[in-house]
Amino acid sequence: MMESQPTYCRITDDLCSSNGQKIHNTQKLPAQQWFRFLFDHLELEYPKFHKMDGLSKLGVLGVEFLKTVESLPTETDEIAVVFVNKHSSLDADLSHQEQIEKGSASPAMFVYTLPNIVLGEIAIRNKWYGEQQFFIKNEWPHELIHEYIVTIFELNKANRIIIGYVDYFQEKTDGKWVILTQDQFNNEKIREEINTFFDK
Amino acid sequence: MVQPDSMGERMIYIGAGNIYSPLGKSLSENWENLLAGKTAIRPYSSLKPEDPPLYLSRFEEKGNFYTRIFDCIDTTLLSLVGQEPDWSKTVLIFSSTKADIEQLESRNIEQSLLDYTCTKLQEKYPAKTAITVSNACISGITALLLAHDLIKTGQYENALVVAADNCSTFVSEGFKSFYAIASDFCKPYDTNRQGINLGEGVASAFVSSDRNIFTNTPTALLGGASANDANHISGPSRTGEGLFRATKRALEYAGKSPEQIDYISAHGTATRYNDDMESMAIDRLNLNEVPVNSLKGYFGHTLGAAGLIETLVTIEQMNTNLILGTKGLENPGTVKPINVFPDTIEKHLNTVLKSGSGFGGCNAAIVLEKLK
Repeated sequence: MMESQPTYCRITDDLCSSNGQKIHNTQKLPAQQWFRFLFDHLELEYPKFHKMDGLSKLGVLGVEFLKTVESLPTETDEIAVVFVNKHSSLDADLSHQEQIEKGSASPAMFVYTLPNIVLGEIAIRNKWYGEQQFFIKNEWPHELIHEYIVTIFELNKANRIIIGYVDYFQEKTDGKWVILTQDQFNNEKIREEINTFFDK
Repeated sequence: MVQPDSMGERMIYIGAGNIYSPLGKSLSENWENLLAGKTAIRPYSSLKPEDPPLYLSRFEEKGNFYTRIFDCIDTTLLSLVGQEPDWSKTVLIFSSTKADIEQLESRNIEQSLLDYTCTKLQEKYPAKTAITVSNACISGITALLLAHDLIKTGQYENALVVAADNCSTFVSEGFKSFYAIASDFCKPYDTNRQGINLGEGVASAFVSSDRNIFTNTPTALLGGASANDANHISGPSRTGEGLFRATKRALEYAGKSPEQIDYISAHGTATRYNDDMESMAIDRLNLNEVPVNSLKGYFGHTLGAAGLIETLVTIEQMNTNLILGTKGLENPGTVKPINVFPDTIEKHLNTVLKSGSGFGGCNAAIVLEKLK
């Protein structure tokens, strides 16, 4: 039997593409406005979104685009989420550092100085209680990500996993996501496709 | 007691642990000072002179971040047979929230990044793969969990797990803005607790499927789980939802029932919300009678290093059948009663839980068991 194709999403400074659908940032909107534009495009009603930092907005949007294709349950332990990036929360870190230097550190900014906050935002939005992991690496760690997915499925920690590269620093946006079932992951062609997707 | 490979399944062992903290430069020095009831926490003047002093566990000497990490790991490796693992079958897992974040003060962006530190580690300790895990204050536990799972699935034989965080102005000013910092020594689980004391430190340990690689008897690492509260990014769930789920899944995964747990090495940051949340989760798991402690009164909250430091102290407690008192505790006062106490007690320890929670609503728990 042929397994279904996994759902992908890609968001950069000028393009958002999700399983064939393409949205161009024709107005060259700066990152925050671009995120707002995509948020409006999805017709989401989620006021919390507007309080998030750039990294969290990007991560939440990527998952929302996956959800336009995949029907995913809420109130579940069965969806694992693993994100990777290079810059951790550096964008928020620098803002926090500048606030300290001005003598005005704020909890609203400080809370975003951890990369895994975006995973928390996604958990809250979707009521997902499952396994989560945030890895930091300059280059896409395809070997380790493969090994991590093996642990999730072989040790029955979830029946689906969202894998993401979510990097946001000084207006530079780089987001890639895919959601996989174990059957899809067992397909060698799909595994190669995923490697190519994240490596380029 | 665990019989090695009694189930025909791959057993995972943890050993060769070392801690380099303001309380001591080796595991044995830390342990001696813990048994003597000492704390490394001291008052320091604040960034703004008009502010009250900050109570921190900080290295007295301004030594280099990397010197401390290398020193810690080198001692870990000395406790391995042959003093060097087969690096081609080893993964290096670095656990940290902010690593060398103070580099940002002079805008040394590259040096402030977590992978900069991880790469330096891999250059010196040439593991096949190296990765940083950064999951707020549960990082150390999730690093051990990752080590366990990668070895359990036969993808590696060994993991070198390293955890480090610094007591930076970056972090202390942030927690201050949250009003989460105590203006005195922290009081975990106490009715008058008012917040955390920050700390810094380094820990390292070796995880392996080969029991014979350790010069001393290791401890069985039975695995565990992580879970999110799905409730709030900066405050824990009032019902302890994520910690309840993480602990429940960890017990199921390890094949243990709550009655088999002899001791819980908990998080106990001494904030109102965290400690109440933990008591809720412990209550929901019917673990109220099980002895619990927090080590924050000795080390402060060492963030991304806390999970590993506290796991290694937990192993020392298992080896000696002693449970350290919760330093700073006078009058227990959590929303649900739990079994906490100020002075060290004796108890035969066979199977224990290590748990933690952090910003982003994350929670994790692992199960450890004594070997014959």
